[in-house]
Amino acid sequence: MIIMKTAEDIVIAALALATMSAVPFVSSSYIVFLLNGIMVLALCSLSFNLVYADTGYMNLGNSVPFGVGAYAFAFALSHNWSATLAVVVSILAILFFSALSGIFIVRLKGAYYAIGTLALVLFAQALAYNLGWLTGGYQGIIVNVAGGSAYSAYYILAFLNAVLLLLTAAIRKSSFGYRMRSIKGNEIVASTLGINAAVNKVIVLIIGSLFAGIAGILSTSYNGFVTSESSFGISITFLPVIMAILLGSFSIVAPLIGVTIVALASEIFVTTIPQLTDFMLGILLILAALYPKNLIVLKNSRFLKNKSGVRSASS
Amino acid sequence: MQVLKIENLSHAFGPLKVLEDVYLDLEDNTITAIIGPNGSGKSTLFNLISGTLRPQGGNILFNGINIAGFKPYVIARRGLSRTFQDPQPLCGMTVLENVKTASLLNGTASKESLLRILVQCSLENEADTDAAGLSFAKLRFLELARVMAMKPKLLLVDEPFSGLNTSEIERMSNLLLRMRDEFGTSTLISGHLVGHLAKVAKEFVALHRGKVIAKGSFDEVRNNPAVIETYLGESNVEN
Amino acid sequence: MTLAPLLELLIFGILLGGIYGLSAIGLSLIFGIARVLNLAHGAFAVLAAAVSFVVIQATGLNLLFVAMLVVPLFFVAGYVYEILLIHRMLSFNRERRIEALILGTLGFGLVTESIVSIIIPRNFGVNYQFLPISFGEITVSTLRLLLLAVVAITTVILHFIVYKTWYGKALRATIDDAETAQLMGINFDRITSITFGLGTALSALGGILLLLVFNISPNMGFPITLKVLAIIILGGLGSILGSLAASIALGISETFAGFFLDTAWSNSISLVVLLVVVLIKSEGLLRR
Repeated sequence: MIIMKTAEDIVIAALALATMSAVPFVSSSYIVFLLNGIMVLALCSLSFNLVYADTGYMNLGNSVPFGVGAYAFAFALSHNWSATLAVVVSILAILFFSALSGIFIVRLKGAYYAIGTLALVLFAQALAYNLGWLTGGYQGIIVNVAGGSAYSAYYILAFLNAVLLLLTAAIRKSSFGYRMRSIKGNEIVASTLGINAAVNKVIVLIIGSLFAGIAGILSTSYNGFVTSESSFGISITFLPVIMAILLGSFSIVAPLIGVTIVALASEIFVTTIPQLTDFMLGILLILAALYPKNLIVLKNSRFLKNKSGVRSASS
Repeated sequence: MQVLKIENLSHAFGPLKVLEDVYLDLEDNTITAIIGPNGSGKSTLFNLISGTLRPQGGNILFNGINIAGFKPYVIARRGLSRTFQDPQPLCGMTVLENVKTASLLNGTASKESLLRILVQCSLENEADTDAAGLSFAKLRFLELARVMAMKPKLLLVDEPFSGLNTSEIERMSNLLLRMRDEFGTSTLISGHLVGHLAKVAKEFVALHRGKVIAKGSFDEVRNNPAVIETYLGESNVEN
Repeated sequence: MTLAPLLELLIFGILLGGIYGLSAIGLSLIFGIARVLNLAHGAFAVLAAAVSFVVIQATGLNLLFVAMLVVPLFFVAGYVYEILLIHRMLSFNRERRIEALILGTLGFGLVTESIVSIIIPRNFGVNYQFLPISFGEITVSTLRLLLLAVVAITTVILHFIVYKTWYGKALRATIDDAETAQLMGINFDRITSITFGLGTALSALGGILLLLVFNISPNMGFPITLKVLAIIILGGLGSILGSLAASIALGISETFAGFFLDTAWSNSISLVVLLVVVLIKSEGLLRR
């Protein structure tokens, strides 16, 4: 994929960067909150895509590390630990859980992978409900956050999204990327080429989970609360998946526009008719199933071509 | 030194005995052919050696170490490469990317060296084409290009000639010989076209219903009564 | 702990398992013919329960009667569902098909669930007063006996359908060897659609019966689907007897867990079972 190959791309990216940096200064905190929400979803989406695009495995349980990060951070803060300590502990928790579940998940093949990860989410949901002493049960945990936290979260989120985009591109070009794509291309052949599929899958899962988990930490930091619904609920579990699949291989501009539209729409739904949120998500999932990658007309075909200018067949 | 020594290898799929007490020696720098009718166990033998299947009994000594039960990627890293009876391209990747992935075993290879391999396999024009779109013959050569990039000590080629025309068979035979001379690769090659196999292989092993029924040079095996009986009625025994 | 309460729990567990079993057999048939793990299966059950509940509230008809109206409705629903959605996805190439089926059935399940929560935005259940019958020390509610009877009768009818009717023979033939079956004139598409209808109807019946057992919440769809998935994978994909055995086992475990631990954990049992079973299944596919 091409990032910043042509002058046009650079201009667009620079403009986008400038606009985004200016936003918090000129708009209300509601807008900042909204954009934060969108960027959280975008980060989760990129994290899902990291595993999905190159290995072909659908980790439907990407909201689990998100929730772990969100809850761990909230737990730490509510016990009056310092912010730094809270972050460190949360990241350790994320790594621990993703490594643990990763070792089991990567042994699953095909449809079982998706079903297994889905079961994990429900299991996490149940745990969040029942382990009241840890998670606050149904109510969740509320923390006091500093006034300007939404603004710092804004910049951190934007930065992380950019980092993950670049990282995904870098991985794709690297040997690691080739190994992962060969796993998707033909796992049996890959193993005869000397590639340890399991290890590679765990590594990419941990990387993706790390970003999803940090998104969770940030979510708690500016929202001031965490609940079972906000961390393992349907929206946070499926919206990133929908966005990743409907948008296919990435470029800079198109997915961000698409992400914004989808997230804005869901915001509107959530605030007006909550029941219809699930309805809309369901419809979008069905559309993603039937018409992946075709839905966004905005997509510039230039972005789909790899370096040698040839359209790769399964882009 | 023997690159490969197989002792008492047996394998069954449920009640069906696919391989029974198979034994095999492969010397350094040699090409040995495994022949036998369909169902004689050739592919299963290869799957067991490469680790794709886990053997139920017997030893597979690769450079002195028993690799029976090892995972495929471990065996591959020890220097074994294989091709498949039905060509298996890495889907979603170009021809060049297929070969590049194979070359990762030996560290980073330059684009030139990869292209050189493609040229040797007559695939340089398809370097950036999606591997899944290639013709059958080219897919066969892609399999070969991949293993060439791996520079294996031991190579298993599963019926590489089937589906190819005479000139393609000749090209492939030359490449196999070249691998032996350049990398010191020892090769096990399976197939039916005994006449073509004789042009590359020094030793022959004949399988029938999972058992080794003959072993030796081409003439020895060809004139073996047990082999003749097996092949009677098969039009594969060519001159 | 005396024996009597334990036996009551056991009976309840078998009953619960039997109800799950209806849904499980439905999904087992669907998987057997089309290799589809229909993630909307549980949502259909909940929708059927919701529709029946509304009808009962509105008309006062008794549940069994309503069931006889609603279940055939869901046969049609399943049939149409297959024709409109599943069929399209089955025609995709192999790589895309699995993804599409997972996301598509997932999405449909979500849509169905949201419809349920719009119709009935709270937990719902049905309570009938029945005179209990006593067997010595054990008191069993007649209701439960009735439910057991319904489950048993349905199983018998099912057996009849699968082994004695034209459809059943065609179904078994296709599961056995799809190509030959088609060569002999069996319309694969038609059989698939009918099977989806049958499977969905079974799930609907399970959902309606569940109304009598405990309160159903609108978002129970997915937990039920995952329970059923755990059952059929545990019992052997495509095996009816296996699914029945596994569902009874699950029903009993859930009941005992709910009693001795907490109801919250009883739901997690099926998830743990699913995770374990899926792990074993995948490992088993690896090298042999």
